[in-house]
Amino acid sequence: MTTSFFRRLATGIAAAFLVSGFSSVALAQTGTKPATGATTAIKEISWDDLISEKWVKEMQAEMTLMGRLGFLEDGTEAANKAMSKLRDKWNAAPIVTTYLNQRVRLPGYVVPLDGERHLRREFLLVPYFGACIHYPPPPANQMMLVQPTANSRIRAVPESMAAVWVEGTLREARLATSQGVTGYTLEAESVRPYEEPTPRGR
Amino acid sequence: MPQTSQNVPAFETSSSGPAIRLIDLRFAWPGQTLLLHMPALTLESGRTLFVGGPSGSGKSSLLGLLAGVLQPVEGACWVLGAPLHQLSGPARDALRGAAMGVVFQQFNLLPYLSVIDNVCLPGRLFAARAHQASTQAGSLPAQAEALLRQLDIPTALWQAPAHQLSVGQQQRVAVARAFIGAPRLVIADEPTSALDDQNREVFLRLFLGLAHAQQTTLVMVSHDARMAEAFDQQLWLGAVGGGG
Amino acid sequence: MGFWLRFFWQSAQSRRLALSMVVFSIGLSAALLMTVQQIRTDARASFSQAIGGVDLIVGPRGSATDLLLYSLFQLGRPTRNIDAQVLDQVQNLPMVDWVIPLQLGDSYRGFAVWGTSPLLFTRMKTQGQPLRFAQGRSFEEASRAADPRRAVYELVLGAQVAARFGHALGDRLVVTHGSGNALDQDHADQPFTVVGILATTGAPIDRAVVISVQGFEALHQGWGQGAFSGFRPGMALGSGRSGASSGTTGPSVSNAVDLSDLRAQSYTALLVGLASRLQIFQARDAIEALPGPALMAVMPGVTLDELWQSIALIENTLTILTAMVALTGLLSIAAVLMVSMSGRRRELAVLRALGMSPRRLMGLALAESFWVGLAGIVLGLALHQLGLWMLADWLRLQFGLSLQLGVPTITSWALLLGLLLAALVAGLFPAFRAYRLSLADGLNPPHLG
Repeated sequence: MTTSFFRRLATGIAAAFLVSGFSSVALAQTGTKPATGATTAIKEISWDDLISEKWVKEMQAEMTLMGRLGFLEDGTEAANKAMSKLRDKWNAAPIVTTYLNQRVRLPGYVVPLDGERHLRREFLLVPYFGACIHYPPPPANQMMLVQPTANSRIRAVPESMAAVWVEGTLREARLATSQGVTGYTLEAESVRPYEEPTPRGR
Repeated sequence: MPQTSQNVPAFETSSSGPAIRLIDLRFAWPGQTLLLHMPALTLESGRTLFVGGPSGSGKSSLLGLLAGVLQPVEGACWVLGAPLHQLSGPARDALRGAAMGVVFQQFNLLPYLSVIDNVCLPGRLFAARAHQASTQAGSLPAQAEALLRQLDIPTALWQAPAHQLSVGQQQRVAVARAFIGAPRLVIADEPTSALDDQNREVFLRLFLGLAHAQQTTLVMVSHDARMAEAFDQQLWLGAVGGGG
Repeated sequence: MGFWLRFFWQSAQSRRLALSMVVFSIGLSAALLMTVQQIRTDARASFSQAIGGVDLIVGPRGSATDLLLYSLFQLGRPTRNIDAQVLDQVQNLPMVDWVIPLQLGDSYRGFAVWGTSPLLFTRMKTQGQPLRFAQGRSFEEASRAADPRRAVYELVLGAQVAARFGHALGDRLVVTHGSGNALDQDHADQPFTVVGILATTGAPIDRAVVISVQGFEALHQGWGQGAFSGFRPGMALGSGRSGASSGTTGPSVSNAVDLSDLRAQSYTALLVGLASRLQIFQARDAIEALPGPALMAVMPGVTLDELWQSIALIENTLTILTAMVALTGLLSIAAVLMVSMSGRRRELAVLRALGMSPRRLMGLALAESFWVGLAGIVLGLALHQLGLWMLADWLRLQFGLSLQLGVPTITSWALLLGLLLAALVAGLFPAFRAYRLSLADGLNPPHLG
């Protein structure tokens, strides 16, 4: 389990770096309609904006360290300790406070939470496709819990693995763990299907 | 409902003048050689005409032209004062329905309708016939009943489905249907050919009797020349055309 | 007007064999279209509600969809259970807030029995709302009840179960082991008492009979160990109102049984709620890493959506198949009517002689196609309702499909209208043939026979 997890972790981190590039190309800043009739303007952000450079550099250092420990046997106590240390750091990824309590818009993929297909089901928004099946889950600062309200504008049931734009107020979620870790939640104003951006020059 | 909204054909038929006038009439089936050529034929109102000749001489086609079902290739065909050669299909059908009666050799009736329903059928389709019947007999069914009595159809059979009657009875019911609503022209295509000698006599007597009583113009086609002398006029068709 | 009704009717009667086959064919197509449409709509409704308020479902490792189907929809069977101690292990994980056990395997007259804790009624949600009781209350946890021995036999009914059998508070019910076949042994000596009836939710719990874990265990005391008392002939099956015979005592666990013996050995599945949904992936990993037999923690939303996509595929296939069946039926109708038109050339000649134009004859034929189509659709509606009435119970038991009888939906009416129009189009073929034949034949159609 350990080596496979290590590989998955490495892939995940690589994915996280890819995402930063990915998001600027694919889920790119395409001119979408500006917010209308709101008290404050909606700011369009990317997943990069939710992750701190400092943490990325720390994780890179850890990964390099892990690489040097590649000679460790699977299942040995030292290997297990190293793995769980890495995992904890992953799960305790700190959030960025810049955009808290502001209205934001960003795209992502849906991971539904309730076993009910109704319009206002809660879901996790993650940066890449297949987050719960094919790849290890994202770190705590690269996902958010989207909580629609009674007034949210949602026209279609959010489907598993669907690509959507969400708009709403970003908040901090206090998790009841010993490390006092936090995460992101979003009071959703609207959830819209993500359309492909029209290529420029057409 | 199929009853036509036209009470009158598309134009006026004149009640004076000959019932039938054919001028240089030619007919051929599409792609075939000339079948019928009538240089001239005139039949006055209320007269009876016998059309005879061997089979293949165009007798049935002549009836088709008179009924307005067929169109001549050349020439003029005036029936009841209307220029059939110039009228559209629906107009000819309307004229036929309102002012003519037709009798075939056999299978004249709708087998699943009752006798009386069969006789009333022209009146149900064309208001002009129903109106005439009511004027003459009080109502459409009343005239139907009168005609059936005249043609010796027993009362018990009136509500029976037509297919239950004998061939001779069916032919007489067909006559009743042809004469209901006082049409001005009745045409008959070999109406006795399916009957035995005795039925033929009866049929002819009743048929001509009704025509004379109502002053209806009658045209009958048959290959049996023995009946010709009972008619006012005779026309013999040969291989191509004929004279009158 | 009476004449024309007679005319159409008697004309049709003369060809009743061919026409009744046509009517039957249209009727079948209509019934098929409506039934498939109904199943589509109802399948969507049945499977869009599984369970809300639950973050993870824990079961033995295997197929996630299977776990969802048998734990929440009671479709299919679990192959293994999970050990009872797993509940404590999961409860002790830091990110877990609550754990509700689920035991399945018994039934009451075709409806599944759930053994669970009273927490289910406070934690489970439908459409974002907690469960409501239409009447009564939940059963009590035996360890906390005033009279623990009686609390064991308390029972709560889902809305559909109560409505189906007309149960009320206080009724006594007998529960059978297994799928409810007549051959299964039944626990006729341990009737349960209805203490609560849930309000309608649209979720599978409407079709559930809910008892406590202790009650579930009490049912199986002595099961398979030779001490089972067995089926007593003459014992009334089904329910009866709490009658004078039992007085105020009611059924309770015999004093010979130690209540602590009623602890569960195993569970079918566990329903887990987390302190924060943001930790769902950690929780899943932690549960799957627990020592002991391999476990699986399933996210109900994700798995339900997968199930949904499979259903969508099936329903699209069904729709296409039905459309093709209808098309085949219509083609054969056109063929039958065209052939029968050839046999009616005499009739057409008679009507032509009486002044009907070929166009009017075409209209007559079309009118007949219309009446035949309408008759077929009415027959189809009747067949559809009859079929539903006969199959509703079986479909519910086998597929968890809850069908609504009664007035068809707008879409169904649209489909029927489409079918009628299609029948008219099919009727254009014989109608046009009537036109051509009557035009060509004139007064001289070919002799028949």
